[in-house]
Amino acid sequence: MKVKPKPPCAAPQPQPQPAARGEIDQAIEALTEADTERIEQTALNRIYRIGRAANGRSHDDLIQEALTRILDGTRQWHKDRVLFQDFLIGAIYSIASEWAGRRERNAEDPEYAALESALSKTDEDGKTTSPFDGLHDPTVNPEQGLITAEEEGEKRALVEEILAGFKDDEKASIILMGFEDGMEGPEIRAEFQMSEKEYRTTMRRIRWRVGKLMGEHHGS
Amino acid sequence: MAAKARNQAERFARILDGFCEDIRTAPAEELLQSAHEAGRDPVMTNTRVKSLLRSTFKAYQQKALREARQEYERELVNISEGNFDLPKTAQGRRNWFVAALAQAPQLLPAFTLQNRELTDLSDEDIECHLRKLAQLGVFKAIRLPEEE
Repeated sequence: MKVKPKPPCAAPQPQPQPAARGEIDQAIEALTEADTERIEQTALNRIYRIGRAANGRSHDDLIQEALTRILDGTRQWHKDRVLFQDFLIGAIYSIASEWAGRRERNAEDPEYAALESALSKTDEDGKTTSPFDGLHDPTVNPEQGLITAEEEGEKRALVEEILAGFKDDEKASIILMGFEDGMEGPEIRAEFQMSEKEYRTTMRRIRWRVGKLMGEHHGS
Repeated sequence: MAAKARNQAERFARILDGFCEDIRTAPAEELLQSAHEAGRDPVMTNTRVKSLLRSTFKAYQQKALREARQEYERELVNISEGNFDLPKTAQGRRNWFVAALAQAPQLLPAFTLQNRELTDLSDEDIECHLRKLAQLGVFKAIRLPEEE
């Protein structure tokens, strides 16, 4: 019986090394205006997205945390595989998700709760009502229930405001509906037979208005 | 009610996700144009973000340096006080000593003077030599056997 000869073993490839600190420093210096715009807008978007889970942290904190994790090796940047700015943005994305996840797991942690005094209201007659008044469901932490309801209300209002801003803009409405359905740009364009140019022009309108609205809402 | 509320949060999240995906993939020129339209100056943003990243980088380096210095100072104190976690048993200490000399054979003549063999060294000699090796920082460079 013939024994099939084994292929010669390939020489072991050296393990790719993550970028050294000096290389990270060089990558920071090389960031263009478009890169920093993309980084900042992504960080802002993620802070808006996670809302109270940011727990008082700003988009600057998010950028700093992302870089720190790259520096300490928690997230290893291999410069031959991905551009620094894309890697940093990826880190920003995942840290924001992590903060949101942490809040979901620790929803009752006082760290995330607003003070009752901050949520109390005084009516026309000068009578102060606690936000817990009228909440009788013993299975729900009233404070948490109130915060969740408030947050949902804020988000509903924002969604309505975004959609209302484009009620006469058919293409923008289509794109926003696509986003709501979890679709991405290329999918939306294919589904609604939108040219690249049409899509990009519409997205510029959306970006401008949504950016303005979110900025106003977050006081920036 | 709860399901409806969840839907609102999800609708909001999905719109922002789509918006973010666009920020990630939009052509550079379009992004810069959008910034100008929104009244932002990309040059200033560039300066600000780079400065933020530089200060983070510097703070991290200083922290790493500070920790290394503290570690070094701790080691210095340990050395000056003669605090070393040597194996508890005489055999364990002898194993360390043999392992140290096997991995740093250039030190062998220093410990086998006066025609003495390693086997002739007493337990007290071994302990004394181990402390000297520790003071020289030899243990940081070699692999020591686990104490049984």
